[in-house]
Amino acid sequence: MLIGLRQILKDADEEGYAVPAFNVYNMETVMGVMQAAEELKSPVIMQFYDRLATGGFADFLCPVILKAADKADVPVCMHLDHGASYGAAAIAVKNGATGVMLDFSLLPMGENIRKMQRATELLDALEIGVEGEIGHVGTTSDKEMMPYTTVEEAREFADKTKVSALAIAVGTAHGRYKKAPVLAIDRIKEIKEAVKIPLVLHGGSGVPDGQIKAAIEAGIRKVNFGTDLCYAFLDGVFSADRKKVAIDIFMGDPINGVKKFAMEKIRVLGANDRI
Amino acid sequence: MKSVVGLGACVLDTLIECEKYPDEDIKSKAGKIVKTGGGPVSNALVTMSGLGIRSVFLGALPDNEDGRFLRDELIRYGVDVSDVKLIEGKHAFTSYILLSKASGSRTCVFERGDIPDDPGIPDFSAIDCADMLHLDGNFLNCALKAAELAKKKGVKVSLDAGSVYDGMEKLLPYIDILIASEKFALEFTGETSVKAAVTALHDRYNPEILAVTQGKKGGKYFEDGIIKDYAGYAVDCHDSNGAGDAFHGAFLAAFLSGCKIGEACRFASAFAAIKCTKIGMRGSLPTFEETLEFMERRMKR
Repeated sequence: MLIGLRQILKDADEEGYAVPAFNVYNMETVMGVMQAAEELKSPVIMQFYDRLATGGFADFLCPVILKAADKADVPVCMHLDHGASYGAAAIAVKNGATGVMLDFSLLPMGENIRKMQRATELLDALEIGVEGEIGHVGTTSDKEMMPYTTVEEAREFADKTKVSALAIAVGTAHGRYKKAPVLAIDRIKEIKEAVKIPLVLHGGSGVPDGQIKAAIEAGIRKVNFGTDLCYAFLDGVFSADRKKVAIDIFMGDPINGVKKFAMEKIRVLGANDRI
Repeated sequence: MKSVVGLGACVLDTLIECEKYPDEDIKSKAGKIVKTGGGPVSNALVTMSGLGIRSVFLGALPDNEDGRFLRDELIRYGVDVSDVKLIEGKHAFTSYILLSKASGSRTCVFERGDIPDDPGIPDFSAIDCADMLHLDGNFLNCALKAAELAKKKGVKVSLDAGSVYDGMEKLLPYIDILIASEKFALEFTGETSVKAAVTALHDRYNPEILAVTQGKKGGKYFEDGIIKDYAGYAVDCHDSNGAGDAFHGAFLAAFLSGCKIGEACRFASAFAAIKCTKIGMRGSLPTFEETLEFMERRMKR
């Protein structure tokens, strides 16, 4: 069933687990994720990047996600990931998104707050939860790791913007790590105590399971997996038997690859058997 | 993805479906009653959003239940409303529209509300990166500022010239895409035939694109020095309200997708005809594919 970002994270917050947020790109990645969530009775967030929204792909992808959510017995949230503009948010909403992340984290703090205030004001009216980001989560190819989000800036951002979920920079990055990251678990705990709202960990791919579990213990309630889901899918594509010409049959291995990956992460997050 | 910024009317419409247009001074039972957002520019933006054009509404609405209803409905249809200004103590442009099932006519009674003509929209920067600015002559002083800015930035300006408003002659020199209703074309030029009105508008303003819509009869457009016709489509009309707005949105979507003026007129005509087959505007718009299929079916007849 389709539910909103606020509700899916509220349940996780009350029970102390994190909801997996998988970036999906096509019908096959949606199918792999859904099969995993259904089998493990896990709530799940399926999210799509800004470029899919503004590039016209969402018109095709979103109906697939919504159909999967409609058929599912587990709660599903359809979420825009790293929306770069209000326009992207509007497209996501038009396509049925029940959660929206807008990322203005590269802007100065005051501007980030101002733009997020406007976003929450507009989307609150539609009862759509908004995720914001404070302290930029960079990429694994950045020369230097971005500074961690401070407790003070997280508190100010959460208080002033009224976001439903807050992504923080605590040692992760987007992409594939050259060496395993070390998360600032104490910082997560301090921020959680200060802001109370669900916290989000971006760049979940490649983070050791033990660290993810510690981050959840400290207050993380949504963990994003983008890069490793792509690898799970593509590994299945590249290793598939080339004699399989019918694409639906060919896609069996990639779908299973995504499903296997998603099941692993659902268990790490403690999201299994929640329904 | 192409993008259009619209500045103009956003109207609170109440659609009242009647078996036939009521006689005066009687009580008459209505069929369906639907409250919805309307207005030329905002309806065109909803149309374009549905057809895959990134749509941004610039305008002002009252800071009350009606204004928020109108704003929130635009978001639901994918229109970016982040630069919409809500003004306290004002009331919305409101209309009541009687739809006669017997004749297919629509009769509109409206009150323009009291949003100021230049409501002080704080940020026009959305125009900078747009492919088109779409106007309808409402908020004229604000529209003039926006049109001037668009010209400086090399953004084309489109006008839905549905009715003659005071001062519209100031706006017309900025217009690249002028699509006027028959009523506007005749009234504004003082001509008695649509052909003569098209010629007069062309000679006076020389827009890149010029067309005049004539409802279900189709319309005329100017191409290569010649006035050409495009056909209308006969349909079982349930609600023609907003058909012109849908035409404008569909025309711009087709034009921005690379269609020539004749193709865009034919597509928009079919799109608007399909819209008329259902009550309401925003929830019953066809897709690109449905419109093309409709056109293909009609060609085979």
